[in-house]
Amino acid sequence: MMNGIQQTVTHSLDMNEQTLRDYFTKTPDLIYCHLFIGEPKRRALLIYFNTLVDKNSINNNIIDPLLFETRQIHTIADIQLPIGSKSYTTKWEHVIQRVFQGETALFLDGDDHVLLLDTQGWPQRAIAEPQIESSLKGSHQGFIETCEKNIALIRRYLPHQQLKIEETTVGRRGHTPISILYLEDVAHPEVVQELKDRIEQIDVDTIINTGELMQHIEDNPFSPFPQFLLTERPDAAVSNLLQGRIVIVVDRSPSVMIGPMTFITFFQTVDDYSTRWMIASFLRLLRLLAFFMAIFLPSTYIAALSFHYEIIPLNLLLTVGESRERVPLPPLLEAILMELAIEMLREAGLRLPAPIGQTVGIVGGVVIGQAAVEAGIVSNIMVVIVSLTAIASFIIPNPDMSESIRLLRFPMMVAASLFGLVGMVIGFMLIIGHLISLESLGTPAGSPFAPARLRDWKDTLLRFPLWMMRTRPLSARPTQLRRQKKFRK
Amino acid sequence: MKKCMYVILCFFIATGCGIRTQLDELTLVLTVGLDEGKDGNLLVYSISPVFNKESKNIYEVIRTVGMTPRNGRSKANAFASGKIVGGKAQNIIVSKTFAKNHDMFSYLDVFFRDPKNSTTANFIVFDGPLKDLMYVRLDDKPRLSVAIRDVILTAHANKQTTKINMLDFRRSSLDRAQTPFAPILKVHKGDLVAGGIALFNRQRKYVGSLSQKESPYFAILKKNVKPATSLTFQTKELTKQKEYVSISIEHGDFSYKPSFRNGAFHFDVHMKLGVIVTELTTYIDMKKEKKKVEKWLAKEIQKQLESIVKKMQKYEVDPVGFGLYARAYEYKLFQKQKSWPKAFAKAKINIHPTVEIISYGVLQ
Repeated sequence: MMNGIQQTVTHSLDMNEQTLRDYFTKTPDLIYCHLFIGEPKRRALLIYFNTLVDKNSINNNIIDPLLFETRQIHTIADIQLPIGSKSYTTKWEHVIQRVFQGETALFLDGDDHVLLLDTQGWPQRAIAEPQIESSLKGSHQGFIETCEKNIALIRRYLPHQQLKIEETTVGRRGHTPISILYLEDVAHPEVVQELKDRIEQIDVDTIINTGELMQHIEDNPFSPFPQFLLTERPDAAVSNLLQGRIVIVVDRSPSVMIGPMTFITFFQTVDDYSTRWMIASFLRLLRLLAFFMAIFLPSTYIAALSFHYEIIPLNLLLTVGESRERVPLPPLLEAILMELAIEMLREAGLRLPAPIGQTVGIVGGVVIGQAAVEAGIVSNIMVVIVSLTAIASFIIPNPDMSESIRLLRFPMMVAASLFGLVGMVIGFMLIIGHLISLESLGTPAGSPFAPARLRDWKDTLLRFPLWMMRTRPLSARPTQLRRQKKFRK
Repeated sequence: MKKCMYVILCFFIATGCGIRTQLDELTLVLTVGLDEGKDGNLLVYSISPVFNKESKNIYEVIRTVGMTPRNGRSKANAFASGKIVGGKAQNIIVSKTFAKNHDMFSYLDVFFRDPKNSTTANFIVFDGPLKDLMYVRLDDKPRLSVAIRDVILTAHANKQTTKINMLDFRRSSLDRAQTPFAPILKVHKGDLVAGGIALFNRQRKYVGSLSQKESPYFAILKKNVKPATSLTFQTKELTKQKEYVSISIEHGDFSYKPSFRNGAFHFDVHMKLGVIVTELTTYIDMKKEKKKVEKWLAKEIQKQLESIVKKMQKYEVDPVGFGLYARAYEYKLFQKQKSWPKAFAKAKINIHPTVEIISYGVLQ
């Protein structure tokens, strides 16, 4: 700090101000406010970033009482201000870090203690409906970019003393504040320690978003599948906390990270638990079907047309034959062309403002769908398959998982065109093998299928009635299993 | 690195599928026809769909002359626009005269031996020279192969004929206890008509046929009455008038009891048929005369069944599979028989149907 010359604040106000002015150069938003306070008057200095503070709070709660202070001020501890959160320090390092976070530092001449006052107030968004993960029955509050507000949203669901919050920072320049939330009597201490160790090891400038943090600490960076869940829903975060998982709230990022995760949790939504179990089970099966369709449908088409025409029923075969009659491309190229087209459409629509986004939809739907068929570049059947695949991949509730599945179908298509169904089976086996060996924070991501934990299957392919799920799933290694008593037969 | 090697090895092992059969480059033979040509040669017809919109026909018929079906197909490759494959074959059709003069089995060998051929294709006997069928113009029907299949399947569902696929044909040909059979297809005034059943003897040669009228009774003997077997009778015996009653057999309980007495097999066939009266062109008071009608129906059915059994015994064929029961219940005696069809011809078959009228409709 300060080139190692000065570590602590001195008694001289002028010296302190000089130190600050040397340190903060070209920072016009740093305000130096000189005051004379108390009887007899003593010099004081108030510094803050006017871009990061709540100006009302400074004017009304700090400057106003200070100006009208009539008592004698001996030390800085004598100053009484109507602000709830305050602390004292003598270290420059603390002063600067806090000021950067929007606090106000008060220096008193002749005192080496600095009073830090919580006056944070930066531009922030109001709490709004989650954009990516909207739900029918879940709450309509989503996380925003302020860590405190996000923790507040979680605490509202879990007013319990066992909900522990540990704070740390990541990044040498950014000092991104990170809060690790877990239920102390449920989460396994080893898993919590593993997560903390990994976060500690991160040595970067800063992390802009939760997704960056995720990539720094995930178990297998070469896996196509996500190993942490990013969510912008407080209810989803709480539901995972209750299963013994750990929630990491990153300041400045609207999504929180949850780990350790299993593969199947990416197919569960909050709505599953608030709808009745039969409907929820049906939706689960639908998503599983969508998973297979999104990976295998185009490759099945290619395999059937390139190797196994026998597996197509005759009437469909005649239809396929008719619609492919004018297509000059082999099935693989035809499929890759269309799949790439739909990926481009999706990506284009994603980055465009809504009014132009509609144009993309029309251009995509009409030109690529209808016109490509009429021009004889692709077959009708291919358009149907591409649309079905796209819809299937959108059904998967988690965007990270949905994207990784979309990516996986391309190697599958190549395998199918080279080796037919045999290639697809090999590809499928590789995926399964990889999923079984995948870990999230040292816990198996294939749980409860591999290792098989039959009791936890109640909340996987089907969603059993809530009153039957009496224990927490074992995947996150919870130390306390009982979730509810048997109160209903 | 090691992992990568394993993955690559996996794909090298999978070379069994290295031979591509790209759909666009294939000529799918959906129907194969075999007929007698000149000088003992074989006429091989193959019908395959044409997808090209510029061509006038939606299917092409290739006619070749060869020694065997495979030989004929090899020659057909010279005409076809793509590699000829039989994996989707729907119908294997032979003409009646061809079936009469040749052992079917040796000609059908290629369909069983080459696993790339479909074994679920329907085996059909065509009444007449095959060129009548192959060059028939069906303007209001789908592709000929599909039309043939549909006609056979519909007629089978209505019990106007039967159906048999290649696998079943092979099984019934090789089984000592039964003989094969096949549906008969005709072209009548430019239309496809399926009706009647062709009977083959032990030597897999065509020996005779059951008519379309006898087909439902053949189905009853084969215990195949569902979904519904429709029969119509003249009520002369019952009402002294030339009127008609139609019934539909809804379900049946069957029991075949073989025994061996006085050097011949005896079969006691009991069947309980539940029928619905679907049509009555005259007035019969069903409430009162139900029992009488039931008895009369049973007698009529018995008459018909006995007559087709007689016919089969005359031809020395056993397509129903009475031999299966004989073998199951009287194994030693069955094994002693040199030829089951001959033993079957001598067998005494007593058929005792009982009819129960479940319903006679919503009218009275």
